[in-house]
Amino acid sequence: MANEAFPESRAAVREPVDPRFWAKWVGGAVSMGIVIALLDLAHYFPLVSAHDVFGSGAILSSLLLWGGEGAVAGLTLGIAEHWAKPRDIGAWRLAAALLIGVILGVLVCHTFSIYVLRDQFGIRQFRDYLGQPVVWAGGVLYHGWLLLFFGGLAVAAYASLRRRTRMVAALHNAQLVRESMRSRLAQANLADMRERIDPDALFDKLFRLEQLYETDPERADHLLDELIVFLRNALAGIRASAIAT
Amino acid sequence: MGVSNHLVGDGGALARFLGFWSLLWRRGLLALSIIFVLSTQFLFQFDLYENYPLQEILLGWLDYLSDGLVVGGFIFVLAGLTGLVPANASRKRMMLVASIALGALAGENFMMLQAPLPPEVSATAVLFARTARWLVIVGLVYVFFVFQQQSAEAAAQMRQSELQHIQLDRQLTEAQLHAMQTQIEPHFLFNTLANVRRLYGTDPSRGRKMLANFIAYLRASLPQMRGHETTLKQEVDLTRAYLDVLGVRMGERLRFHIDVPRSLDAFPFPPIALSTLTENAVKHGINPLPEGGAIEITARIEGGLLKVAVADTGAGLRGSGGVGAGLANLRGRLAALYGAEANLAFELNSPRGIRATIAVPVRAAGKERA
Repeated sequence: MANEAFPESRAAVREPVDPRFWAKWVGGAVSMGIVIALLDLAHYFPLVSAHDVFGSGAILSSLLLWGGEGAVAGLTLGIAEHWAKPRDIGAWRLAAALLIGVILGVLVCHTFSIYVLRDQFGIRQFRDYLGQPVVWAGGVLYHGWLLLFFGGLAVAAYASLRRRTRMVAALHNAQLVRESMRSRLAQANLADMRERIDPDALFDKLFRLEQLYETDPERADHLLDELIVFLRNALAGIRASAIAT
Repeated sequence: MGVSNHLVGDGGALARFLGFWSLLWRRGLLALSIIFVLSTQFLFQFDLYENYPLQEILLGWLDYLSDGLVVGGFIFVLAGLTGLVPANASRKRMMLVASIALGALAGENFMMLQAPLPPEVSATAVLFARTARWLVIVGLVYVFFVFQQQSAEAAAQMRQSELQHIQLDRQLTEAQLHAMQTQIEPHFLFNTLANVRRLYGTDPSRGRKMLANFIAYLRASLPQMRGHETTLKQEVDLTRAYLDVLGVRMGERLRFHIDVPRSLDAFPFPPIALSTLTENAVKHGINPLPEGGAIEITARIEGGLLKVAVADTGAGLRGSGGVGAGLANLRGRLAALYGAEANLAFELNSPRGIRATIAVPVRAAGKERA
C-alpha cells in the first residue's frame, strides 16, 4: 500500500550515498554489539569478581570484539539495503543479510583477534582474563548465537519502524490529497451556485416583461436591456470561473 | 425486545471474550517461541560437547528451557496485567517497563530460591545481570509491537481516508456534472432575450410569441436545472419548447418532427442530452444553409439500449467546425453516468445531413443519481 502511495518516488534518481545511511547501520549494529558486550560482562561479573580478575583490560577487549563484530554485521546489512534500493529490502532478505553479516563478522573478528592480536601481539582475550581456555569454535558459536538473537530482534523492530514510517507518510499524503479534493469540491459547489441563475427570479422577471410589453413597451425594453446586461455579466463570470477551476 | 437485547449484549461480550483469548493466545505463542529460541543458547556452548555426554546436555537444555519458561511466565503475566490497567500512552509505557523488570526480578529470584547460588557469588549482581538481559529482550519485542500497532492504525486510517477519497471523488464528479448541465443555459437565455428585444421593436406579435415560447421552454427545463432525474418525456418537451423558440426566429427555415412513442415517455434519460444534440443540429446543420432544413427526432429500444436519434437535413460535415464544447460535455456526462455502456454516435443522414444517436442502457438508466 505504501508503494502505491509513492509510485517510484525514489526510483527516478539514484541518490548519492548519504553518509548518515552508513552511520545508521554501522552505528546501530556497533551499539547492539556493545549492549551484548555489557550484558555479557554483567553476566560474568558476579561469577569472577571474587577472584579480582575483572579489570579495564577485560572490559575493553570484550567491547572491542563485540563492537567489531557488530560493525561488520551492520556494514553487511547496510550494503544489502543499499543494494535493494530504490525498493525497500524485504523481511527475508533483511534476515538473510543479518545471518551472513553475523557469520562474516564473527569469523573475521574472532580469527583476527585470536590468531593475530592474541597470538602475534599478546593482546589478551576476555576468556584469558577469566582464566578459561580460548577455543576458536567455542567463541564463534557463543558470539554468533547472541548476535543473531539480539540482532534478529533489533532488525525486526527496525523493519516494523520502517513500515510505520512509510504508512504514516502515505497516510499524510492521502490526507493532503483529500484536503485538496475537499477544497476543489467546495470551489466546484461555489461555481455551481454562481452558475445557477435562480429560475424563480428569472420567471418573475419574464412574466413582468410579458405584461409590461402590453402596457408600457418602452419600460419593457429598458427592463429587457437590464436583464441582457445582467446575463452578459453572469456569462462572463461563468467563463472566468470555468477557466479558474 | 428484552430477548433480542440480551442476545446482542451476549454477542458483544462473546466477541470481546474471543478477541481477548485470541490475542492472549497469539502473544503467548510468540512469548513461548522467543523463550524457546532463547533457550537454544545453551546448545551453543562449545565446551559442553567436550566435557559431557549428549544425553546430559539435552537434559541440561530442558532444565534451562524450563527456567526460561518460569521467568518468562512471570514477566508475561505481570506485563499482561499491566496492559489491562487503563492509562495514557507514555505512562503505560513506563508501567510496562517497570512490570518487565519486576517480572524478571521476581522470576529470577524464584529460580534462585529453587537452586541457590554458591556463597561467594553476589546474588544482587546476578539478579541485575539477568534482569537487564530480560529487559533488553522484552523491550525490543515491545518496540516491535508498538510500531506494528501504529502501522495498523495508520493502515486503518488510510482505508478510511480512501473511502472518503472515493466519496469526495463522486461528489466532485457530481458537482462537475451539474456545472456542465447548467452551462448551456445562460447562453441560450442571453441570445433569445436579445432576439426578443429586437423583435419587439420590429414585429411585436412575433416578439410576444417568442417570449411566450421562451417561458414555456424555461418551464420545461426547470427539472433539469434543479438537477432532478429526468425522463425521456421531459427531455422531449424541453427540446420541443426549444425548437418552438427557435421556430419564431427562423420561421420556415426550421421544420421539425418529433416521433417518440408514448410507451417510452417514462424511461429515465440524461438531462439536457437531447436538447444538446438538437442545438448542435440547428447550429451546425440548419443554420449555415440559406434554405434551412428539417429535424427529425425518433426513439426506440434496441438490445437493452434506449436509442434516441436526432437527424437533420442540414449542411452535414461541411457545416460543422469540429466537435463543439456542448458535445464534448455530453460525452463526458454520458461517460460519468454510464461508463462504457452508453455511447454517442454520428453518421451521415440520407440524402444529406447528419444523424446523431444517443444510446443509454435501459437498466442502468434509473441509477444515474442514486
